[in-house]
Amino acid sequence: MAKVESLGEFEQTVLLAIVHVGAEAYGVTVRQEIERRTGRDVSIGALYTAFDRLERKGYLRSRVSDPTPQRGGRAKRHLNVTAAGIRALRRSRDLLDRMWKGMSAARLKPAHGGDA
Amino acid sequence: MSRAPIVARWILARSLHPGERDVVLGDFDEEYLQRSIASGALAARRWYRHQVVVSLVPNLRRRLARPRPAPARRDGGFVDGLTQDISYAWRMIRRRPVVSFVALVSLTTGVLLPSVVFSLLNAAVLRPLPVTDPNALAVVLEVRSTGLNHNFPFPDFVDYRAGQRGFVDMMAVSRGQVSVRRGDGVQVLPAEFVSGSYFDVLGVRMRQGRGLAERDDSAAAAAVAVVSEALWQQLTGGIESTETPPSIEINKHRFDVVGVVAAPFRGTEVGGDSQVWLPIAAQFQLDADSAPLRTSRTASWLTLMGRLKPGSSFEDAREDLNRIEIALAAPVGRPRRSLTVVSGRQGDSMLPGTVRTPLVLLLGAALLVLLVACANVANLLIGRATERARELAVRSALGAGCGRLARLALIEAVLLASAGAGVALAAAPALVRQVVPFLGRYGEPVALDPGVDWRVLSFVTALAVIVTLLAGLAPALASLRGPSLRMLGENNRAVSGGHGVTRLRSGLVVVQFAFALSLVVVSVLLTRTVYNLQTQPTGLDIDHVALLAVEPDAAQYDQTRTANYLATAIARLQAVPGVRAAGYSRVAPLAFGGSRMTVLVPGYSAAADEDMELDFNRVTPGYADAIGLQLVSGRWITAHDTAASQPVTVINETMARRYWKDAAVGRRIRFGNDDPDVEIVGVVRDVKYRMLRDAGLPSFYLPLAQMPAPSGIIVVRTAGSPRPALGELRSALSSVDPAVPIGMVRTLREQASINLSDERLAMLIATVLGGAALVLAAFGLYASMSHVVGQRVREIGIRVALGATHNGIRRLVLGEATVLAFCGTAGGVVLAMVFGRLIETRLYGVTPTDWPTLVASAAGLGAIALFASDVPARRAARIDPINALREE
Repeated sequence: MAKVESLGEFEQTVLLAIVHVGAEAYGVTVRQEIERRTGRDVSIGALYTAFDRLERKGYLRSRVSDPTPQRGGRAKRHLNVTAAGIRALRRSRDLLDRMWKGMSAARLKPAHGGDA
Repeated sequence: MSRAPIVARWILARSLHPGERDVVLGDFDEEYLQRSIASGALAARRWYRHQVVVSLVPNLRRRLARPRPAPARRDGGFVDGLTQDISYAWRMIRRRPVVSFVALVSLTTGVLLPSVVFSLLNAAVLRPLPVTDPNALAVVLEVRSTGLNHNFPFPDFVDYRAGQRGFVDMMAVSRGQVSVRRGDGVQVLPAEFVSGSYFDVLGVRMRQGRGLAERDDSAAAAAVAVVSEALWQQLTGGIESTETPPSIEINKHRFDVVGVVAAPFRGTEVGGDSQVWLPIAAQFQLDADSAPLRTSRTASWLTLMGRLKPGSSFEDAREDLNRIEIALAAPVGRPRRSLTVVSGRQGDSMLPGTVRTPLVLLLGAALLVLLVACANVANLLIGRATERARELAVRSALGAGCGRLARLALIEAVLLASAGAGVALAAAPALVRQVVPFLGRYGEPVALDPGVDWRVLSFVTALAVIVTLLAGLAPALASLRGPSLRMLGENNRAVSGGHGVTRLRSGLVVVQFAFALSLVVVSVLLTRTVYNLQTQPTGLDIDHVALLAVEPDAAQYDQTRTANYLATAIARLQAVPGVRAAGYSRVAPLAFGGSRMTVLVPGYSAAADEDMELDFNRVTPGYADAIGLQLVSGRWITAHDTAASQPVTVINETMARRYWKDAAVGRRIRFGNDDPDVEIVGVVRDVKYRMLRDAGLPSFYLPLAQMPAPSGIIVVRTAGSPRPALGELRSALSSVDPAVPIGMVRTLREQASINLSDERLAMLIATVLGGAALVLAAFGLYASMSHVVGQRVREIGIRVALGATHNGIRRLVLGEATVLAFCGTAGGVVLAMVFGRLIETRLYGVTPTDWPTLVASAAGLGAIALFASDVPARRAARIDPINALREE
């Protein structure tokens, strides 16, 4: 595929959380991973929207499990980051690294009283 | 373990797409459980609610973005599907802008016409006076053998008011005009002279200041007036200052303005437009001649109204007033009146009674046009639905219920109907304002508020609902019947929606044509009525006569001076070049009104209920020549018939035939038992007296010299058209004596035209409605045939490939259209006869079942039908078989 889509910040966060959680990645664990690491109480709705988008882009694969008795007989959506997803993460990291290279703290001071 | 918040959970479930509902709800439940163990039920519930709220928008977005669910299900709920259907219907409307636009225009026109008529009906007939509790208002009337009398003398009002117990209070009002000074000019405005109780009895809302009170209505009181908001704004330029009420000059007297009435109050007459309110006492001062009215018990000039006491009825008030009248009549020496009390919720108004029937008929016609428009839209929507049949079939196969598909069609109709109703509500007031002046009769102005109130709002809403049902139901039914699995395998174009749908569409075209034809027939009947009335013989020289109204009594002339003035005026007018003859009469022809007198015919025994009160006119000798009267036998009135000579009369043919079998000359009549005999000296041809519709009524002429009239009409016959001479005639007349006011100046033809204003309006409206229905029906047929051709491209292609000629194909399509138009026309003829019966009383010289009218209208409609379907027919004939078959 010639066209490469870059990842948004939230998408990166979600993908990384899935990688962190590993085999047990589904809605609850991913959300809690993000919350544990960033302190953000991410909305479940936004999370699932991100899952859908990432899956559509081919960075994520999901599989709805059989109903498990632990959660009142509800199914889970198990998540896996695809190879394309890993590549996309690397690309994003790369891009940002290159941009950050040589950036000193002094240059990051706001020019005139900050922005809006 | 506590349960998750029920409401939040329910909302969450609705916001989720069914395909992921299970998974996401599971996540919520799992984390909720963990949290309620870790930090307590309260915190867990708070978290849950918060999560539901912040997830709502993303969930709904996801939901709309996902395709319709594959699994068949029933738990989607009504609301879920509805939002989706609305957005889907909206997409469909936008995807076919031309069809949607035509549908919208049809519906808007269809809804707008009845909305305008209803707004008029509402303003003129339904809406009460804008005062406190109008339903408790009552008008006092006197029952006479000839009808109801609306006016009473001033002293009687005072006595009734003092003695009555059925009303909270009574008030009296008389309508007139006043001249209000504005800057350098003077403006003549309608005004009401009112008793001091008027404002309290009515409960008029004031914009500023106060209404007139009891203390204002006396000879000794300061001169005060109340004005309307409109006049107030004109006078002050909209500046509000109440410290020192400015005064206005009325009829050259100064009046302090003590209050401003809040709009839209315009006095006690619906259709009237009072701008100034003055105490009755002020009238006696403004007009010295009216002073005797204060004490006269024979001059009736006041309208009496009262406000019922709570718990008391019109019947109670009636009995109470008659009790006073019985006690009053004998002492003041007059026969006892029979009083009655009727509802005063619309004040004392003529307009509601005169316009009710025409407006209701008009509303019916406008609703017919709406039906035609609905049929049009239904047809368009069916067309669209069948084009979508394949898609619908897929949906249906995937589990969308039939009801769901029908609902989709209905929603489209709802969107269109709402848009139509919205436009109608927005545009109706402006249109109503344009139409209101046409309600005026006898050339008098009418003022009505076209505003949209709850009645108009409900009416238009009801229309929108009906439109939705009518326009949406047929396509909805078509959806129920149309899509089926067998369509899945078929080529898109081959899908015609089945025989049922085709029959439905054809049925709609037939209904449209039937309604359109009936309206066209009605408009032709009314047009012929106007034509017949205009061209019938009137007995008058209608194209060569000018009418000039003069009022010698306004110059306070006595009989001698009036006679001298008229003699000079007639001589002066006869000297104007081009004038053939001039005369004078009390009554103008074709001016709606006239003089009547009871006639005693010796030797003729009238039936018990026979009306012996006959029309008559007082004329000078020159009148017959001036107006074109034709003598049948005997002689006409001459200068020798004077006050001193034998009283004579000339009668018309109908009168001669009815009472004397034509041998009338030399016979005598009397007007009262003690009056002298009047000798019949001549018989003249009948003429139209009050109305062009008048048919053969007896009437007679008296010499003006033997029964003088204080004011009347000078009639002038000219050689050519009198129109260009009007100015010269007028100046010649005013040169005789500038003190005598000249009233209306117009030609007899113009007077006849005014006489027909009702008929002409009916004709105009019927023509507009008929034309609208016709255009809509023609378009419906066009759309229907285009659709049929579009659906049958392959079939036509095969026919052409097998050797069918272009003309053959064209005939095929035209043939189908002809069958539809023919069925519609047949139904229309039947409908037209039904509607013709409804308007039979308005027709003249033509019957509702007039065959030439029916045949000509049907032929005209047929021609339009052929024209409308020829375009798609030609398109069909041009179909290229190769392309048509390749599209497979």
